[in-house]
Amino acid sequence: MDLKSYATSDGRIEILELSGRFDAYTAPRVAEWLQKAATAKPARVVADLGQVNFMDSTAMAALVRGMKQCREQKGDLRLCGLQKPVRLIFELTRLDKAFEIYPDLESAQASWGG
Amino acid sequence: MLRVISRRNRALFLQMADMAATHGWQGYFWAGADGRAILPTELFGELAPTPAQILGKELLPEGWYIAPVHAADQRIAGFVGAYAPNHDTALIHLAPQAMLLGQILAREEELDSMTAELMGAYDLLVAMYKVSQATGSNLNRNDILKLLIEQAKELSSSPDSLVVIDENGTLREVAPRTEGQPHEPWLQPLFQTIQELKRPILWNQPADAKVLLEAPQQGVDRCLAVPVAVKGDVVACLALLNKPVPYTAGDQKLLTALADEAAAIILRDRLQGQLIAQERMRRELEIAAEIQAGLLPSDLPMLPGLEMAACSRPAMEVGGDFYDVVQGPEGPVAIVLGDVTGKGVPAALFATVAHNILHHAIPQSPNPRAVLEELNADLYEELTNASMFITLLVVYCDPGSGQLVMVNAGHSPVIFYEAATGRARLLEADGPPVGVLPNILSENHTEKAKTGDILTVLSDGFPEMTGPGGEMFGIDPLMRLLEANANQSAVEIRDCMLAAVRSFAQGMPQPDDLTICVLKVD
Repeated sequence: MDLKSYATSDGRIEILELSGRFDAYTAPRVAEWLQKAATAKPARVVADLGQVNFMDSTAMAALVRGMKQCREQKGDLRLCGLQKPVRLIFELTRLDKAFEIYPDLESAQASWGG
Repeated sequence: MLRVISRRNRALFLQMADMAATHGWQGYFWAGADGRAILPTELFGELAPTPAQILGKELLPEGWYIAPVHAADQRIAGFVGAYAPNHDTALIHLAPQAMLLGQILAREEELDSMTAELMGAYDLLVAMYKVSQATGSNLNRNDILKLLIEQAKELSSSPDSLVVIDENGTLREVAPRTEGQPHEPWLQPLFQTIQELKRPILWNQPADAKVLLEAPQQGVDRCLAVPVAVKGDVVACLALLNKPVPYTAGDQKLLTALADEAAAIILRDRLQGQLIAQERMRRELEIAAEIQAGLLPSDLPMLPGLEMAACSRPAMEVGGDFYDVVQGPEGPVAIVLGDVTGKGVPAALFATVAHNILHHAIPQSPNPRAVLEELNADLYEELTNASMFITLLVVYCDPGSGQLVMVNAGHSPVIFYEAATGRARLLEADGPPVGVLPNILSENHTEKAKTGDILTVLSDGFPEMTGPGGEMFGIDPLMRLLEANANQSAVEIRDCMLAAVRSFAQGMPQPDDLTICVLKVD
């Protein structure tokens, strides 16, 4: 799994780009990154899962933890670009009701307004 | 040195003295390096030379001739002398005799040194034998190390010795110089130095120690310390102290050999410790697995009009899945199936706690959603801290009416088969799992089950069972399997679903826990 991250030009939002298999082996790296990102206040993070083709429950737990940490810091972890198999997992577990999920990065960024 | 030869070779002296007589010489002697006569033991007569004369400090009396005997290192080891008035030949004959004696002396020295080396090797062998005997005995590590340094102390004639060992960053004297005395302040710098250098250090005078350690040593004039290295790391140090004469290369060789033995002892001790810890862990997991298995209902209730079958197969010794069948407050039976994220001990701990909470909450509440709320309130913080959540289905079932009231927090798959249509459908969750949000979003949902209808609740280990090519079993095949086996008993349906995913895996390791509950209306 690849992990890339950058901040938007105005520095308000951290973007996390993941690709490949997101599972119990790769989740700790993501969890560590999210924990650091959630130290900002407000902690606004978008995880772009557009290139993720598999997620297991440990990976989802890492995102849930990140989402909680960001919300504690008056921010949020929002998701975007979910491929069909990944979207299906979010729908089956109803984690789509816990996260704000957007079709693409632009709409996820725009969700925080200008 | 010539004295040594003269003791061992008196016959040679006598032969040489006889030869001198045949030359017509009137006196013959050997003297030591100090010029004093050795053989004969005294030189008599007014004309006999004094030690000073033999050493060449004074003029020799007339008629006496002297030749120095040189040792292998060219030192003067003694003198050969003769009184031969009117015999100039003495000067010519004495020089080869002195050379011959020099050669003999060199061989004798060589022999002495070889004998000493042999004795040293023998002593070392005896010491190693004693240590290896101790290693095979029931003695513990520290006692063996004490015995080992005692051997080194005896062999090197050192009055003091010590062994220090690094135990997780703390220096411990397992064989102190003086029993019961506090830690000597110079030991820390000694050990640090030896850890850095990774080779023996030696001082034969206190001034050298000050330079080496930059720390004061109390009553340690001489020291030979060698590192004990295990897998390249210096973990201990053996030291011999205060030998009356300087430590030699031989002492270092001896202590280094014993340090290798000490390294083997420490390594063996560590491996034994690891084995014991592993065995303890294995036993604890066995106990945990027994406890967890004991929490699952051993016998499912036999209810008229309802057939039930369930089982759980963890991927590891213990797992994060659990199920339960509990009598509800108003008669109906409640069925619970939960799946904690992850596997192994952390998941098992939460599974056990959640199982217990539900087991006691269900008989108190007629409302499955209220039970779920209670569980979420109890575990939300702990689950958050552990980065975990629980997918959970609670079904209250009234066998008389066939009414199923269920609440589903993110659990999948839950498959409902309707005999009337012959089709299976997925009952999807309407809220996220327990522990994700501070409140529960799921609502109670009711199904009316008729004769032949089947509710099958599985953990995600079933659809996510992986084949040899990495492909997953999926939910659809489970639904088709249920449809195809709907006329079977609950037990047969449970078993055929387990068999199907196992056959799909073709011997690949089970990636996740497998838990299934089947409820069939007769």
